[in-house]
Amino acid sequence: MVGTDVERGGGAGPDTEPVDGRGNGVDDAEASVPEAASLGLHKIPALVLVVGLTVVAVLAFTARAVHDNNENHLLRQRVNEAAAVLTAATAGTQAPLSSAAILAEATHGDVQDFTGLMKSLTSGAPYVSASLWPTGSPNPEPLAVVGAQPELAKQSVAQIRSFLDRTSAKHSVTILDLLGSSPRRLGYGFSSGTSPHYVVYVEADRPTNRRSTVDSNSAFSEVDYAIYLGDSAEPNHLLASSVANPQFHGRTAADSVVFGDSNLDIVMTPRGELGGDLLARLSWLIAGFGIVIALSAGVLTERLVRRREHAERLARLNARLFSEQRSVAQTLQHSLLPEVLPTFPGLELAVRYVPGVDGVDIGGDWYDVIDVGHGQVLLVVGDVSGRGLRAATVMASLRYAIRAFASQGDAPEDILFKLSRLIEVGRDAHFATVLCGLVDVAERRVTYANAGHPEPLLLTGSTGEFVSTHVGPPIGVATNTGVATSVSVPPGGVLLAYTDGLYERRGENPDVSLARLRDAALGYDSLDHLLDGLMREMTPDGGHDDTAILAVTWRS
Amino acid sequence: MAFVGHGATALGSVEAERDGSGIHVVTLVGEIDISNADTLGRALDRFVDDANGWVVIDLAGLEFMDSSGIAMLLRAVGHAGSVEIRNASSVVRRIIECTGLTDILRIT
Repeated sequence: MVGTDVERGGGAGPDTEPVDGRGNGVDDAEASVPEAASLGLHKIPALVLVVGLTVVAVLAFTARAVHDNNENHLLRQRVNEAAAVLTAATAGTQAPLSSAAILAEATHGDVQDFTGLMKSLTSGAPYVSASLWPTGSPNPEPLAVVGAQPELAKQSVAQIRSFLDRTSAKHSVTILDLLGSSPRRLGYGFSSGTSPHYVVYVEADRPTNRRSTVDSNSAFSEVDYAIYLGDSAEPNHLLASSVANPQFHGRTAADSVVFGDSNLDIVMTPRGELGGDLLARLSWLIAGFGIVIALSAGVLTERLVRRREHAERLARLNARLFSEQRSVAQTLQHSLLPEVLPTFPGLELAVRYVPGVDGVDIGGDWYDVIDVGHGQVLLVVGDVSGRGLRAATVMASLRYAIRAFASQGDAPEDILFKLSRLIEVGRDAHFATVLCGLVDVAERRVTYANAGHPEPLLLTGSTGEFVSTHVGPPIGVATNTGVATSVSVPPGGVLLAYTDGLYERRGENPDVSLARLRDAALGYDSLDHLLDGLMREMTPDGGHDDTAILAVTWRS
Repeated sequence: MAFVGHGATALGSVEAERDGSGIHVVTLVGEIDISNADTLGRALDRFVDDANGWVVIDLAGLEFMDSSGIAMLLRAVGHAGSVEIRNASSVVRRIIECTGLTDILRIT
């Protein structure tokens, strides 16, 4: 039985994969919708937004707390300063009273001397009334009165005696609160010595809305204040204030200073922001800008995430298109090569086709085996320059043209001559090298015509030599005059035809490359082993260019 | 004027200038294969068309070309009125010989 070995490079190339029309199974729905529309946020942008807003809120509250703390601190400072100012202002009260008390004791209550001393002090400021009172009297009456009548005299005897007793019992100013009566006054009593005989008493007018003499001091600027006598913050005890009816709410601070035997309570509230407006607005500024920044960061992150997803989708799509294109290219390539080689009695054939590692474009290499009858077989190996669909169509047209010419019984040189008029490199941008060999099976002879193609290799036993053919110009470059060369194949001899993808190495002289091929082709015991071995040795990295090989031998 | 064609597998360039006697000289340098032949071929065609007459193609710097490079040279020869190819390395010269183009791409 005559066997014809047909193997289509399927298993030989490292990058080939079975072509089974899987390209049709591409998920068209996903491929045609590159971006799914969505209004929601992704997880990461949402997280960025939440974290951003949280940070903003914390910062804003912190700024607010710092501001509050600062304002409270400033207000406390103010009220302390005000207390100091008040202490200094009230310190001068005791001096004239002390002088008068000492004088009264020294002069045994001399009215003339008392009047002379106090006259200048009772003309409205600081006092409206000054009087000298005896101590220990069951029904006390003023010994002398300078200025207005003292309100003290209108009090009950018990009250007067109580006041005089209190005053004489200690060596400090005694305060009489007359702020609830009309006219509103404040009384000061003082006595000198350990067991005084006299009490000096003065009264000052405190009309309503009277402003403090310390009002202009910086401690009182930018604040509203109220100064109360004693510990009760009631209108009846209001000594001075910056507003008519002080009812302070919100941020307040209070301090107390000793005032005679009583004390002064200062209550303060800020009119505006003591620390300046900027600090007050800082929390709002932080909140405003922070929200804008957090939103921007969220939006930006969302856009980045979407862009990345889009890029990933495109990459997946590209990968699928690439494999689809590769699969289409390989399908087309194989469909342009003979599916099954014809068989011939006594003849053994083997072929390989391997696409280059790039594999996306269709290559222009081909082989063909044509039964032309009369015991003759036409073997063809060709190579269209370049790659791609155009190269493949040129290849297909040449291949079928050769089949047509061969069926008319044309000799190899005539086939090339006719072929050379079909394409034109200037017009088609491709040219082709073609080797046609007409095998006379019975005569064991092959007649070659060569259009620019690498010469075939004849392997006999342990030697190999290239069949010297007349190399005419490639198809598509010039008219091929066609000169045939015949070679007889001895028993056991193998003729090998191939394309340049099998041996070509850049920068290497083709003679060197071909010598390497010749050496590599020796020592195989079957066509299959020969072709597999050549593919393995000559293109260890899979080969850059596509490669077609056709081997023929006679069965012994 | 130079044009660089950086393909996936080859780096080559085409350069055009006039020599002292006013002759257009186009120089091919590096490697030409399928990956850059298109780009370089367009530049070469333009240079040859611009020359509009006698063109010298200098291959001194050309280390390798595959059939795409040969097709590119053949097209340029078809375009130009008259082309002289010179300074081809032995490798390039042998590639041209093996392809049966000795009479078409005449190397001086």
